[in-house]
Amino acid sequence: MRNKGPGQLALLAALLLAAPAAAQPLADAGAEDVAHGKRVFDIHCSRCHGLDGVGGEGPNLMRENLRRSTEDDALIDIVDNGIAGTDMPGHGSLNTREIRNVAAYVRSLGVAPREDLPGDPVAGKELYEMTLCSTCHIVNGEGIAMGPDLSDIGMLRGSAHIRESIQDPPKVVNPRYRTVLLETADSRTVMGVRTGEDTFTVQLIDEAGRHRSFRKSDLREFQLLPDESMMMSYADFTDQELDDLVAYLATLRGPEGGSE
Amino acid sequence: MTRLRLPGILALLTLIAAPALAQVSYSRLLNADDDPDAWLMYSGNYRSERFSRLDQITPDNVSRLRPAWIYQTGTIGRVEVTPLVADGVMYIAEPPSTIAALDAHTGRRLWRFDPNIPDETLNIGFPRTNRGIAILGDTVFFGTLDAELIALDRTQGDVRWRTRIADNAVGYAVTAAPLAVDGKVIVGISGGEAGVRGFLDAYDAETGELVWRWWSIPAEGEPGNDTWGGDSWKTGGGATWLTGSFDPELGLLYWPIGNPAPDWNGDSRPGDNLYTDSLVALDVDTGEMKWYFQYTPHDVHDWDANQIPVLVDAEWEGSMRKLVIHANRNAFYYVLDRETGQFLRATQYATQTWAERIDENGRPVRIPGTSPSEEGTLVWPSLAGSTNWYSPAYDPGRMSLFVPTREMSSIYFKSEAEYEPGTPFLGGGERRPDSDETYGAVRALDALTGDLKWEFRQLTPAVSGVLATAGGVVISGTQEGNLFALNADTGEALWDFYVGGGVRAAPMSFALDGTQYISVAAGQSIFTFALTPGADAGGNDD
Repeated sequence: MRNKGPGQLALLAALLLAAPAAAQPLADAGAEDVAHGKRVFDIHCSRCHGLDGVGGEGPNLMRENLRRSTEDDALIDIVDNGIAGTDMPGHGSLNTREIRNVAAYVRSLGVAPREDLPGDPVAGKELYEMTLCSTCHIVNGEGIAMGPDLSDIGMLRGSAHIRESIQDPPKVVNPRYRTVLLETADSRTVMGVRTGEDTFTVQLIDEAGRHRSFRKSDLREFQLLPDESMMMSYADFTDQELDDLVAYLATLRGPEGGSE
Repeated sequence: MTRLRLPGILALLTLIAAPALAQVSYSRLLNADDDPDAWLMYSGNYRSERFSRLDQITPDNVSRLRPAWIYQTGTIGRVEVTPLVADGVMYIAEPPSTIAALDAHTGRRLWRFDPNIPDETLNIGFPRTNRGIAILGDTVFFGTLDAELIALDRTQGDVRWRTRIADNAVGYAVTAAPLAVDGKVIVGISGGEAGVRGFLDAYDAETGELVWRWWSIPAEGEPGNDTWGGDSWKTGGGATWLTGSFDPELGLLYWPIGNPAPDWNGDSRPGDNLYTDSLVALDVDTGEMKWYFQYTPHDVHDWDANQIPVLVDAEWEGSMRKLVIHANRNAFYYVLDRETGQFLRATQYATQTWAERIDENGRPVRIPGTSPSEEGTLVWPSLAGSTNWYSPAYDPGRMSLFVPTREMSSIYFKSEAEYEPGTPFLGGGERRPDSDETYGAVRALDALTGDLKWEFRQLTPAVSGVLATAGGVVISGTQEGNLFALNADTGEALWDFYVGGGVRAAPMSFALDGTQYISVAAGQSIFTFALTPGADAGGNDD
């Protein structure tokens, strides 16, 4: 802006004057409000965001800056209405006070100190490459997308969840990633990760990374395998290796390198 | 280009000038079974069978069912309407509260009426949608999300009258189809999750004036008020958000009543909380209650009774009885005498872990420790119940009730409940357990015993209504976007079609010029199917 006319200055002044009242609707939330927010959060939000907001199927909320809600109003709006085009639903059942207090609780999580991880991310990256993780996962465009894209996993999930996903995948894996084994009418066996299913059809990514769709009634056999069958467990990592791998994955914060 | 000769033009003018549509008289509604080319009310007839007397589509030829036309509403909300068809015109509702008339031959729009409800209109506990319309004479009637009842001229879509039913600012809304009877329009309201006090209204079809109002929760001094604590009756829910049934001989309406509020915390409302979770029989002329039957006293799981009650005349222990059957959200199937409300039978039809049994008076014997708690209580069925508002279909010849069924549990939580007008009043919530064992089914129940005849299993819990037809074909859908046809005798899948959007409504059937059609709302569209010309019926199709 080269020229600040009087009108613009007046507007600026008005904005500045209005700012304290409009800026942080959660600023005056007290400990009691946050505690109440936690109780509501535990019921309605923890299934995806984890107890204490450490993340699960949904993002880790224990971080200072939430990508979509740097402002309190935006955070309140997300709790209220969800995020269109994502798995984040509107609550559908909270009153004004509950919404506000959940938002206040989520805000309080951001004040928690960042985790201090014991592992070495450089060694972890080498391990990631050596163990061929990229045959199932993508990081910044590299790899095959049978499993989840890990490009911003460090932002979306807490380290405890990442660690558990490596050690005991069936326990924490998103049911979306189920392994399918089927036999076609012409006796070909296909194994892959399910990407879609309805009563009459199933879609998958096969081992070559191809997306395919089958009609169940055309198949000789169709089964969803137990979770542990395809997702390898890496329980034989040493503690040090596991620490390193978790430390590396925790550094993955999106293609732009960590802008939240 | 063909030139119209003068006599042709004159003939055309005559057509335009002539009254385009026949009257849908009350006697035509009474005899809807004799008029199977039309679909004149939400559930097809006053007994709410959702059974088409058309028999062109059969197990032998249903594989030739293909889209005849698709109408896209162009809206973003869920389309959950059951279309009506009369005299070649289809009437549908688009979300949130818009009514359109379509040429039933082609799906082309004839007119559309948008009441322009305010953006800030509340919908607490249900989607911004409209599930249906009523028709009487040359007028169509529908309710709006902001709780108006509107009458439109059915040839033009012009407003005849508009009547404010209730105040949306405290949570009242209309999503259900009204029911038109002799000179009256019966309409129920939504809003139980906002802690409204429920009622059922009858309006004069000509003028829009209120004829009677029946409150679903008794006021102080009225019988049943002592089943509530303190002032809890004033915010006790009991919404009437699904269309009921009607017995013209008895002059009784049968209306299912919603859950008590707050849903999951019953501390403030000690007692049975009449008449929530009940079926009530009301005098159609006065709104006076003749009897009630409560399925789930003092409900704390949101297992309202807003499922379609189906009227059946059948032999019961040696004599003909007028019965009403009801597959309830609480996992039990009930048979009642509809003259007296006498409980005759209950049969479990889906997995449940909350009741040991239903006793000889129809009252559940609860299993202790199944109420919502602060730490969470795992109970079958889930919040959405073993079934829900999705219509069942009743095949009177087979005496089968086809029930869209949900096999799913919930972890129920209890929390404090604080009434604040126009906000959710729930006192808890549910969480889905971390298991992947849910599924859905269409279950064919023996109407008299509730015993399972067959089931057709679906990948996920049912959200679609069911249509049965005299051709022996049962139609339903899935939330993944499948529409399918089953053999009414065996449950075998005979045909399916991917509509590409969740089927959250119930199908209906009509006929034009000798062709039977099936219509259903799915995603944001109305799909209409007919048999493609092909091999003779019974031949080698496809």
